[in-house]
Amino acid sequence: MLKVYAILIIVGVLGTFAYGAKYYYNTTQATIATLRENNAQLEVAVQTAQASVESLQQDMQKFAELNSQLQADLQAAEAYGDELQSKLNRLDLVQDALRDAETLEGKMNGATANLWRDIIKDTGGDASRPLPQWLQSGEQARTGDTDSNQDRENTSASGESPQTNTAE
Amino acid sequence: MPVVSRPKPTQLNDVRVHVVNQSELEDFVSEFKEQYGELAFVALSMKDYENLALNIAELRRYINQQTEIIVYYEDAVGPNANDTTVSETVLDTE
Repeated sequence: MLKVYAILIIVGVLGTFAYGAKYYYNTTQATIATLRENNAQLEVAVQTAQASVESLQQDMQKFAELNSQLQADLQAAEAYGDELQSKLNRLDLVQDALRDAETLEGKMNGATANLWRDIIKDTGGDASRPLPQWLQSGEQARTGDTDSNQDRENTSASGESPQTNTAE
Repeated sequence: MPVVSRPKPTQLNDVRVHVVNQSELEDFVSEFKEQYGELAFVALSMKDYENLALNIAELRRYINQQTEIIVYYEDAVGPNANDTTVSETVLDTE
């Protein structure tokens, strides 16, 4: 009888161990599956974060280049005004007019005509239209046979280079 | 992001300047009347002419700088060959 009890106890203990082992195995497998899933999600998160960092770095580099270019372009836009101011400081237009009004007139008209064309070009227009007839002729102001308003309509002139000094 | 088109370019007319000093004033008046019929004109002192030129230069600076800023924003919002947005990355990896 004792043997039977002993066998039952041993079977019970072994059954408990077997059940425990089975339970341990199942919970471990479930934990492994959860961890595997979490790991996959973390890998995706890491990849996303890395892509975000790379994207931000590229954006930062792009904006740094654009900013650098913008500063250079903004500075370049100051050039004409600075140059003109410097030129006007250097010249005495009153004395120039008293000395030789016709030459000064030619320079002014040439510079003005070039300025309009530069502004047209700056705004994306076609600045290749010829200078007005009265400026191309080399005869300044009082000897011209047309006025500037008439030249506005007559832009089909030959396109010859101006005779006037447009340097100043 | 859509980029709107630029405004149409400026269309500027030529302007003729007459420079006259005292010794040539009478000749100028007679020839001006002969050319234009009437004696009516706008006169500027040299100082005012300089100010007008400087004002135009200042406007030109403003236009050009405004244009450069527009170009900056156009480039900034424009497509980038290496650019990959975060949302695109998530979609690709999931």
